[in-house]
Amino acid sequence: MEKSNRLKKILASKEFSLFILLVIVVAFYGVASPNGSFLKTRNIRSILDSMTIYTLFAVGGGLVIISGKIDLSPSYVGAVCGVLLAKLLDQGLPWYLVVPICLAVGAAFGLLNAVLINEFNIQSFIATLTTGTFIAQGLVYLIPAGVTYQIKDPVVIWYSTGKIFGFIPITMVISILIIVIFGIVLAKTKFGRSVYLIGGNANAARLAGLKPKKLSYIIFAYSGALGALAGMLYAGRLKSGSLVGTVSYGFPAVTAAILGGISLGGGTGNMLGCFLGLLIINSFNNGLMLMGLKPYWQTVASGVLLLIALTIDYFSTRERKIKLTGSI
Amino acid sequence: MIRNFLVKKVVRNNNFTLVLTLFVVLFVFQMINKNYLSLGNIRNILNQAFVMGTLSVGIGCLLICGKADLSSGAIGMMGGLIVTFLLNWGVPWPLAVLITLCAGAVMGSLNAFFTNVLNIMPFIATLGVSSVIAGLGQVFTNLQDIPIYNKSFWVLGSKNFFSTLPLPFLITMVLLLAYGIILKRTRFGRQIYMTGGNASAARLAGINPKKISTILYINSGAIATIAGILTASRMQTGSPTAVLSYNLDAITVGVLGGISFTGGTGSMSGVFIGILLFNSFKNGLVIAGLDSYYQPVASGILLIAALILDFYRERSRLKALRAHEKLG
Repeated sequence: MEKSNRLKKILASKEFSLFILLVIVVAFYGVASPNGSFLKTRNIRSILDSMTIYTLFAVGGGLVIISGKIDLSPSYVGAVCGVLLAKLLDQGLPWYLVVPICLAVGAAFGLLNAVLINEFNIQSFIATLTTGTFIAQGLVYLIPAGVTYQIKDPVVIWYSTGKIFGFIPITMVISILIIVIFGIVLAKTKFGRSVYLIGGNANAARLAGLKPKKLSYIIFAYSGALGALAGMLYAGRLKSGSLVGTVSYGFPAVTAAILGGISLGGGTGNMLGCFLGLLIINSFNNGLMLMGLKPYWQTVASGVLLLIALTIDYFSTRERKIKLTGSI
Repeated sequence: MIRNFLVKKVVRNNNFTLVLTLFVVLFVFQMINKNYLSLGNIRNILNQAFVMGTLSVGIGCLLICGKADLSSGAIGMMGGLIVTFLLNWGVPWPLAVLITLCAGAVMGSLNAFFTNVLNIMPFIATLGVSSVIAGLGQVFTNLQDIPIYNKSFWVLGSKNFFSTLPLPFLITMVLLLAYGIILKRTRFGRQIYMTGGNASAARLAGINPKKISTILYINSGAIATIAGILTASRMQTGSPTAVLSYNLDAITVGVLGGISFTGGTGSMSGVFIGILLFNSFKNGLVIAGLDSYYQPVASGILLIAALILDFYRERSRLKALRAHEKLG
């Protein structure tokens, strides 16, 4: 009896419907891609490999969205930290100093966002868009000032491009570790539950003795630092500080988080859903490429996917509301 | 007594601070480089200003209504492409412009659908629409600029009055004036302010907030294509990268000009001064010999300053309201 109840619960969960969606995408491309190349081991590994950077952005972005805000700056912060990493290494600083410095710069950007949002009541959307597209983007050009710095540090190259057993990329392990750790933190710790509570209802959270402002600072700092980590891994892979960097990664990562059930209203969603969302989007884009479509279509597809994710989000939130209150 | 009152009213007016700032900016840059206020450079400033200026008319109305629009830039870009295709197919330019305006209205209605029917946050919904449209622009053109051969169409973007006032900027001024009158002098305008100030109160007063914002989204789409058409005419090409980046600038000048992010306040005269201030500042940086890399950072700092100013303005407005209530 209890067992069948549990099964019912799983079947009705959002994660299960995401899983079905993933199966549909995979099955479609498995049949439609030329020679079934979509399901070859090499391609599957390349999908997982391409996910690493997105995953880091989605974890930080997802965390912020669960807390009821949104952060659009990490992909730009990542680009800043990529060029900063390359420049500092080039100037002879050792990697064990440079990496923490870059992480701190990322966290500082997060704190700047938090100041604007919490102290000056600026909407998180516009505050993070400003720090990202203006300030961080400007720094991406200002830091290298026209020079492309190559990364030659063996340790940085090792962790960015190395493979465990010659097969599993270390960056993939890092990103999966991060999503698992944040998944556990969100689900099992006091901090995690507070994040859900301030996202669901900040006033209630304050009345319950939490400090939404302080938590918001911590959450944005995490998001910035994760962005910095993503940018550093990206730069390490390219072995240079790229001016374009991770800028284009932010939007699909937020889309994946929303698709994965992290509702924009805040207070719902988890990292498992987020991970499934990432798998769906990356499989989808990879399949588009295998089918021989122009890469420009990916921009269109990411917009369409975002709008679909938002529409699904709307209907599922409405259902939840109906369940909670008995009316819309 | 009356004169005293008038002086007070002028000094207390939000626009007074703006005009004062504008004069300071003009004075400082004129001191640095005495070519700053030459006829040629004023024409330069106005030519840089008309794109964001035109976008800011549509976006400004939406902001006053409490909504946001991040798709105007993309719609403008697409408008430029549509007019280019039509002209190159041999359609006479007045008809081509008319069709493009209608296409802009259709694209604007997409925003209205997602925000009003599906109740998605305006920011993220319009960002999704923007991504789809920007992607389609790349797909249609293969990311190549398309030359326009219709010479009578070129006049639209290249004509100058008194050798300082370009026709595109004149059109921007006419739009600002027209919408300023609509906002301040008509029933519809007052309904926009009321919806932005307090949507539920507006509903109780018999206004349909969704209808108002639907009209404004359609309107903003059409106005955005005007910016696209003028840009295409000025550049004599349809470009898949034009106009896009001016979206945030248009929001910046709106907020700078006194439109509150929470809706319900602001005016087109403020926006006009905001446009002049923003562009004089940007141009001044170049004239002063600063590296162009500093421009995004400077714009970002300006936007953040405007948002912080908005915060204090809103707070003092609420304080004044409360004091007024106590008296009453």
